[in-house]
Amino acid sequence: MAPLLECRSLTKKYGNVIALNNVSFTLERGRIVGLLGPNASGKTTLIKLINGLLTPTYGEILINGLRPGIESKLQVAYLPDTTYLNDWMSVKQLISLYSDFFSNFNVSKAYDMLKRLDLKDTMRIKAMSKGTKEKVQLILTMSRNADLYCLDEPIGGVDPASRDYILNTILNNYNENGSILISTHLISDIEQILDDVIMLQFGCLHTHKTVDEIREEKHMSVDELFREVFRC
Amino acid sequence: MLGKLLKHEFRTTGRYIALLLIILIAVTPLTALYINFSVSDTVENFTINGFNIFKILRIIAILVYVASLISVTAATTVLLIYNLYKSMVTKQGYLTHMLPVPTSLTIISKTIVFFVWKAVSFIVALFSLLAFTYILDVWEFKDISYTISRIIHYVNVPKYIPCIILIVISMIFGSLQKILMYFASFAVGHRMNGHPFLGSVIAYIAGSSILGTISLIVTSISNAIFIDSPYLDLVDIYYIEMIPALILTIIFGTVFYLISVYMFKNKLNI
Repeated sequence: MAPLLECRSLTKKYGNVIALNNVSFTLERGRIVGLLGPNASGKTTLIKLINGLLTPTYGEILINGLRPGIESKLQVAYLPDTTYLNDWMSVKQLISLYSDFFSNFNVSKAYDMLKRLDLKDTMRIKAMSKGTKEKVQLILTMSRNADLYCLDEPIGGVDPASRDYILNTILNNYNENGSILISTHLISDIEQILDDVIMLQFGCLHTHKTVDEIREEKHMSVDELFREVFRC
Repeated sequence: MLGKLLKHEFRTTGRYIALLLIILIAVTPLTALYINFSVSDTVENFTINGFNIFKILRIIAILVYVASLISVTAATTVLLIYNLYKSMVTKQGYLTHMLPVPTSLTIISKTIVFFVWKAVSFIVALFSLLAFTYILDVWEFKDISYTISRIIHYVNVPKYIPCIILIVISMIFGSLQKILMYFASFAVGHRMNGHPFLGSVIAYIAGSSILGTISLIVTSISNAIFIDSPYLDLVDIYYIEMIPALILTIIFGTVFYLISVYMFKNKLNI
């Protein structure tokens, strides 16, 4: 069986700037993976490449053995680090759009999550606060029964109380046969849920280990390792 | 899948295009009736200290109508291009390109919706102008039947029907080619790092220049070969001009479509 995600010598250049440099790794099923690194280390670029929003300069990405395309888009649920929804749309219209196009979108799950947040489906995106928009985007992403969830800074712009809600939503709603790739700077908030860690530095793969390996080999938490590796 | 794409695309674009059309439909009778009212003798002679407010309002009514007419025809195009750009190469494009649908279907659905709104706005603007001038007594319904009967009497209608069909086909393909050219410009231009809009404008200008040059060369060759013949009448000359132009339009439209599909499928960079 092909690994869930396989990156082979992945390189992405923007003009003369190398955003990702010869990155290779594989990701197995049933794992929660932290994608860590300082600003401009290539995290968002990697996630966009997985989702087919960027094309690699060199190298290859395989999702369930397939290159990014129609099939992989059905298997990967992506939460960007920015608001990407049409702001005139209501939550109801967005749910209709997602259920029309993603056969693995669970409408009742989406409404359950909305209810827990006390959000009305008639609300329009433009009337929402930044945090609420992020929650709606998360609900749309996590309501899909995908193989791989790519979450780019899902807790970056929200208060600590909302972070707990978001992390619980992620943990309670993902497909357990799939994996989650979470990019974040807020390592201490997510460390307890991580199985593996991928660290990027200057676009290169610095570390790819399980959290247990890091604790056993380095005798430090992921947060401590991050601070040591990326100390300014 | 195409049906779903069309449904959501019409919903996205419809809310502002429909608003423009409704404004024009509302403004047409209101302004025309007011102009009719303001040119009546009673109103025309109604002055206070030599100042006739109704005349000023008449000018404003004409300006409002003309502005509405221009809005529907020009602003529709601008809004549709803006929507196309936003939904393909900005952050909103994340959703467009995240959907598990073939790139070709995405482009086809957006092209159809763009074309339909352009056609609808053109037809509404045409009927608005007819209604406006009818209310102002510029023409009457009996004029139409009279004009048609005169045309049938004096003109060999069957001879010109293919010409009219050719004009309509050329307009349809011309419009589709233009839309696909916007797509191709965005598809090529968005690759310009950090300046996708500027890149798109440059790509559009380059595309227009290439298209214009090739069209000129082909029509010149066509004219040089055929038009010197002494046996040609006006209709023949018309065909000689139009058919190569139509073939070129179809070829260019196909090329723009293929460029768009290739670039958005294999070279996406948003």
